Amino acid sequence: MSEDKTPLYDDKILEGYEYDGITEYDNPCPVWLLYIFYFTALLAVFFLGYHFGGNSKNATIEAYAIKLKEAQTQTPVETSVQKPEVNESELLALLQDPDALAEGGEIFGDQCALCHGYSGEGMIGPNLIDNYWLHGKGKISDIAVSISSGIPDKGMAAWADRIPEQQILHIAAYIKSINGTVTENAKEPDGELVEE
Amino acid sequence: MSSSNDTNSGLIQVKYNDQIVRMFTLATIFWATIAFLVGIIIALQMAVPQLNLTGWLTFGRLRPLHTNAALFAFAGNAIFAGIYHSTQRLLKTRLFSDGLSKLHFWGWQFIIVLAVITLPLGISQGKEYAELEWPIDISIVLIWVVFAINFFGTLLRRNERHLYVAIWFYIATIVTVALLYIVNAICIPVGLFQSYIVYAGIQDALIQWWYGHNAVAFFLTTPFLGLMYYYLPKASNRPVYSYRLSVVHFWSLIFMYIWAGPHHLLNTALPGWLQILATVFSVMLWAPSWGGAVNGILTLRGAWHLLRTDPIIKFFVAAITFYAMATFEGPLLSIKAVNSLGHYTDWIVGHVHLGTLGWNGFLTFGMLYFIVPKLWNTELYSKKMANIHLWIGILGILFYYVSMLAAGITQGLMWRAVDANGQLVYPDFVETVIRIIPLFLFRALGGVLFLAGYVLLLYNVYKTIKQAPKELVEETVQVRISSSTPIHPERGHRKLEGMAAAFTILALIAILVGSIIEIAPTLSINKYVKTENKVEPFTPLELAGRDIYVKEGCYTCHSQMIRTIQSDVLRYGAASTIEESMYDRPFQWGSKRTGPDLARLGKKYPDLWHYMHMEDPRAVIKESIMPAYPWLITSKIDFDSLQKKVSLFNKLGVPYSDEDLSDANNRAKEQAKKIADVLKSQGVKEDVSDKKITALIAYLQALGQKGGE
Repeated sequence: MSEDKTPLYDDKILEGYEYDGITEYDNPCPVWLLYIFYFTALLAVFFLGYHFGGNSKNATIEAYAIKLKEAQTQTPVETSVQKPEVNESELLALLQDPDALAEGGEIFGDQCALCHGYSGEGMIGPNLIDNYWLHGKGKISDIAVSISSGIPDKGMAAWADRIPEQQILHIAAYIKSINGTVTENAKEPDGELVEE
Repeated sequence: MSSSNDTNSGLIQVKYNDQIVRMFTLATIFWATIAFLVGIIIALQMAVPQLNLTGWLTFGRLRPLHTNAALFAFAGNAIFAGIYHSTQRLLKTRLFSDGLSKLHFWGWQFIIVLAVITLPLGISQGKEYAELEWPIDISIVLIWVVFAINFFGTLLRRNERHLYVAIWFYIATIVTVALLYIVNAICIPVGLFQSYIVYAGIQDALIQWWYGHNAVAFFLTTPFLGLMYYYLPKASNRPVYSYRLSVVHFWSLIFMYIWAGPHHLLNTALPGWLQILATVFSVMLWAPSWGGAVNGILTLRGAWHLLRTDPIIKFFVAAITFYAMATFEGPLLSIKAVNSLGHYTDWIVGHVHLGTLGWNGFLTFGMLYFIVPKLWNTELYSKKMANIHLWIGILGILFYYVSMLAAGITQGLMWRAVDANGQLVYPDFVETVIRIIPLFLFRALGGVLFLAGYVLLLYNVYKTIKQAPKELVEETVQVRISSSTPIHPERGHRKLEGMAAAFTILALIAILVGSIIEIAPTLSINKYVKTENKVEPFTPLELAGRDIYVKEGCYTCHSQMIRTIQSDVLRYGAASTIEESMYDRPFQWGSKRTGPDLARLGKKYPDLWHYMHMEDPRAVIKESIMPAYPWLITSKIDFDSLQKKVSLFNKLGVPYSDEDLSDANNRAKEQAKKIADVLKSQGVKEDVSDKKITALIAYLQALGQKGGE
């Protein structure tokens, strides 16, 4: 056994200490490992300085708040131009805008279909493709109002603070565009019949 | 016990207790099979939700079973087997007590059986890796104390003056695990199978991850480093590379590890100074962690030929390599920016398994191939089979890790993708799930490969034991009693190694420093709670719903913590505050988002949506991978216990109104009736006013609706 333990390098065995046949060399820590430690210690100083060095105690939270504000101020720039006095005839123009309808349809699939069905046939929420309306008279602006402020009593959320106004109009236009389509499993009509 | 003195030569005869080691070895092998199998089942459930067959086989209940089985049953028994085997030999003495050893063994197996029964039944405290209810908690602590007495008793009657490095790691393990487990489990029972943790919200979050992270440190790292320091030099027959390195990395490792817990809570509502401390210490842990790996690998200098011939050495080298990978990735993930991408994703799951499958698994397999032939006094049945096990196992781990890394980064990037208008590119959560389902299947394949390799071990061990001689003798050695005074005067650490009690106390101090500095300030929670943010407590019915949420293990897939990250806020609403969860026992911030965050779920969907969604998630979201919970519609709410629960919460400082306090039961029934009536008017046929689904809906609709923003 002891032959196997003849040092191959310049290692020196620590004499006098043996545990169940296990001995130990008197080697130093590898230098590169020490360098890794110094490097992480420097990083630590940097992180601490970055965190506590600023004027504020909660720099990260503030940085996030600033970023969030930037993101919020970005979108209204586009929409605010079109925002004033939308009237129904202008909105009807959206029905001819394939990009707007596509965008509205995509969001509808993501958010609205969960309750109104993927074809608007109604499920938990009412049928959106028949001519019966519970809130408003089925105009695009009526639909947009329902989306924006929700119908809290019936469990429909207000989406105004989650979806920008421009996109809400696109969703409303999309819903208008699928009105009158026919699909299987449609929910029975509810509300007031609106003839066009 | 069986040592006879031969005073003339100073020699005594010591007979080791190998029977207990054999028992723990077999238990390790048995429970590993269970832990791995349950892992594969839950991995498949994530790709194929229909595999959630019945209530007690749903993901939310089996996941705690998998983690507890892997941690306490597989790793636990392996640690006990290895510690009992090596400690006797390193200290040249028999274990302190045969009786305590047996009590330790059977007590621990009994605890595991209780866990296997209670977790699938949904009896859970809802804290990760600490789900077991209070009677089992108490049993664990008692058995751990038995283990400690047995171990330290052995230390006291040792015939070896100095404690070898492996023993240092065992000492740190025993002391720290006891402290972590007890502090994290302090709770108030409200029945035999239910209790509430005393800590609330941020306190609970901090203590839970102080525990959770250091379960990794002191249950999966330090004991296994100890085992490595014994079995690697024994199997390779080489001296340990550097004594000095083992001193430095031992103390730095245990001192720094304990601080790193809050890195599980980066970018959350946790105070900034705690987050930065966690980052700093996690990053600085890189070198101390690698100290163990370097000392292990360099010990093999001059013995590299064994890497071609000896499967045991191959397992050890692979284990140390995986350890080095995982302990580099850990510090990386603790940097806030990296963490903002990886947190809540499968990357973390991959990271953990790199450590558990690679480091703990392979080190244990190597140890088993080494000790089984020794314990049964024979040769290993097939070296070739052990070699095949190694390669299938490595392939399995790589499949597992690479698919989870890819899944985590893919989903993390999809969650945070924001277009030029500042809108989420993938606002629909399920879209980000569909994308990674193929990777879930690859992960399951990795698990199957890992298990397939393990089956070879089962067969190999079975054949080895079968060819063993019928009469097993316990190993007996002649020990020369070392004189109580050293030959040379000793200084510093050498002196300390001769003083077991002082060593233990110093190790305890090393882990207490970080613990106290981080935890003590949050114990007075008021320090962090802004009084102007008033929070309403959950109503009695919502509380009943919350209990269901905890029991079903919803926290294993859903977080309730919107981080201070732009994409989190865009997706889920304003960042969560400390106040919002200040009454939550246990906290439900979560650690994984297999499904979306639920912190502000309330009022987003109508009650009927939740009803249909719980009955069959795929009725409302076609591609959902969530299990269905039809039994919630038929099983009844436990109204009777609500009175007790509400008054307990009130005593703990939750401001319930006098009406709630005096009439919790009826107020819950009233609220449930209202919800059930509306559901009925919308077409639900059954009367669900006394059914669990109604309480759960009430709770889900209350999330984010109690103020405190």
